[in-house]
Amino acid sequence: MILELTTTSLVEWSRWQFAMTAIYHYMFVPLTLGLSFLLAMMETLWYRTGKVEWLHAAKFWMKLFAVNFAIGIATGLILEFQFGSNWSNYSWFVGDIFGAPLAIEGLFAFFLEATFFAVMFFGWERVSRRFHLLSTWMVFIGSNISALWILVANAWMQNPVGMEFNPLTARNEMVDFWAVLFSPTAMSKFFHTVTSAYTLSACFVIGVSGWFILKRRHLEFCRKSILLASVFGFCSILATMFTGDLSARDITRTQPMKLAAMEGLNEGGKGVDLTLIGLTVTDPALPSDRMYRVKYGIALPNMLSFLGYHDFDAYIPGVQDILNGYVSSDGTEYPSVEQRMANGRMAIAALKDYRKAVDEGDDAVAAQALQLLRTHFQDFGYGYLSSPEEVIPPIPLVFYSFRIMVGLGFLFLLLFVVAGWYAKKRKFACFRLIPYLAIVCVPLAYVASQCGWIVAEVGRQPWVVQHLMPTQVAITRIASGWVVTTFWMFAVLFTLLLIAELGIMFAQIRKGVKGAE
Amino acid sequence: MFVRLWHIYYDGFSHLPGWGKMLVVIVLLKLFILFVVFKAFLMPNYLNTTYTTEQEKSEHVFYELIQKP
Repeated sequence: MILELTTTSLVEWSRWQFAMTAIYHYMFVPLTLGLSFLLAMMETLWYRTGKVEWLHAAKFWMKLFAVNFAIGIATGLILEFQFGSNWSNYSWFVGDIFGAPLAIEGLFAFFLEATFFAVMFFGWERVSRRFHLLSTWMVFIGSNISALWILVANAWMQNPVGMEFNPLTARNEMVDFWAVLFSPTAMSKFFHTVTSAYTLSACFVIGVSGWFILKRRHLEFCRKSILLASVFGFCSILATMFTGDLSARDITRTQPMKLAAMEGLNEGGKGVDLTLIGLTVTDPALPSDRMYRVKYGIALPNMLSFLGYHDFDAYIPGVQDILNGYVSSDGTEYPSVEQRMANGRMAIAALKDYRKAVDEGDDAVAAQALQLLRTHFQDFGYGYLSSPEEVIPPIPLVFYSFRIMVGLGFLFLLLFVVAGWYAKKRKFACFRLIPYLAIVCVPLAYVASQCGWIVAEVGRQPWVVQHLMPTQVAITRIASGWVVTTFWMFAVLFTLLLIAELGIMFAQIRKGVKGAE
Repeated sequence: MFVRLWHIYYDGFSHLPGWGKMLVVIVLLKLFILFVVFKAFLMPNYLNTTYTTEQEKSEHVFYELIQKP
C-alpha cells in the first residue's frame, strides 16, 4: 500500500514536472516559428521594393524575435534531461527511435538556425543585402525543421510505427525511417502545430500594432504590419483548421479514446453528433467515475462522424464501446480492453520466458515465446493496467481544452478579417474596439496553443507510447522528494525567464520603432 | 568564411545595446544553471550514472518491464 502510494506520487510528480516544463517551453517556441516568416517577408519586401518602411518594420520585429529566441533557447533541453533522470525506462524502451529525430534536430536544424540567426541579427552592415535576406529565410527554415524533428518524435509516441521490439535489449529499434517520418500522425501533427504557431505570431504582430494605434504612434508602420500579418494569419488559421481536420481523422483511427474524451462521448454509434458546447457532469448511473455525461450540450447533427470519416453515417465508438470492444467504420475489429489486458500480460510473460530460454540455450522454448510476444506485442502496455477504466483519460480537461482551442481559432479568424479591413481602410480614428480586441488576442493565442497541447498529451493518457507503455512503467524509481525539489526549481527558473522576456519585450515595444513616423 | 563569421559574432557582441547585453547575461546564466547545476548535479542520466555497460542498462529495464505488473 505504502509502495503504491509512493509510486503514484512519483508518477504524478514526474508528470507534473514534465507538463509544467513543456508548457513553459512552448511559450517561447511558436513565436519563433511564425515571426521568423513575417521578418523574412518584410525584409523581402524591402529588398524587392526598396521601401525603407519595410526595413524599419523588419528591424523592429527582429528585435522582439531576438528577445524571444534568446530567452527561449535551450529551455527544451530540460525536457531531454528529464527523459534521462525521471523517465529512464521510457528512454531506454524508445531510445533508438526517439533519439534519432532528436539527434538530427540538435545537430542539423539547431545549428543551422543558430548560425544564420547571428548573421541575421548582427550582419545588417556586414554582409550583402542578398546574403542577409538569405540568412533571415534560413532562420525561418531552420526553426521549422527543428520543429519537424521534435514533432516526428512526439507523433511516434502517439502512433508507434516503423519499429520492431528487440526482446534481447528490451528496446524498440527503427526498421523504417520513412514510415516514422511520414506517418500520417507525424504529418498532421507537424502541419497543425506550425500553422497554429503562425497564427499565434500573426496575433502577436497585430496585437502589438494595436497597442501602438491606441497610443497614436507609428500609424503607417502599424498599417503595413497589420496588413501583412492579417493576410498571413488568415491563411494560417485556415490551414490550421484544415490540418486540424486531418488530425481529427487520424485520431479517429489511431487514438479513438482521445476522440471520445474530446467529445465526452460514452456511447457511440452511427451518425454521431459533434458537441459545440456543453458541461461535463458526473453521473452515478455511469459504470465508472472516470466517465462523464455532457449536459446542456448544443450539437451539430452527424458532424462527428463526418469529421472522423468524411461520412455522415460513419460509426464512432464512445468510451464504453472502446472498453467493451467494437468494430470500426473501416471494418477493423478491436477487442475489449479486458481482452487486451490479458493479451498484454501474455506478452510480458512471453518476454520473461524468452529471455530465460535464451539464457538456458533452449531454442525451442525461445522460439515459442518469441512468437507469442510478437503476436500480442501490440497490446503490450495493457498488461500493466490494473483495471480497464485506466485507459480513460481525464475527460473534462480534454473536453474543455478542445472547445477553448477551437472557439479561439474562430475568434482569430474574425480578428484577421476585421484587422485586415481596418488597416486597409485606415480606420484608426474610429473603431477603437478593434485594437483592444487585437491586444486581448495575444494572450488568448497562447492559451489556444497550450490547450492544443493539453488535448494532444492529456488526451492520450495513460500512454507514453500508445498501447505499448503506460506512464507508470516509464518512470525511474527515484525518490519523489527529489522530483518535487527539481519541480519547484524549474518553476522558479522558468518564471524568472518569462518575467525577463516580458520585461525586456515590453521595454522594447515602449521604445517604439526606430526610424518610423 | 569562418573568419568572417567570427568577425560578425565578435563585432556584434562588442556593439550590443544595453538590452542586448542583458539578454547575453541571461542566456549565459541560464546555460550555466542548465548544464552545471541541473545536468551535472540535479538531473543526471539515471541509466548512465548507475550502470556502465549497455548490457547492464538493458538488464535493468528488462527487469523493470517484467516486474511492474
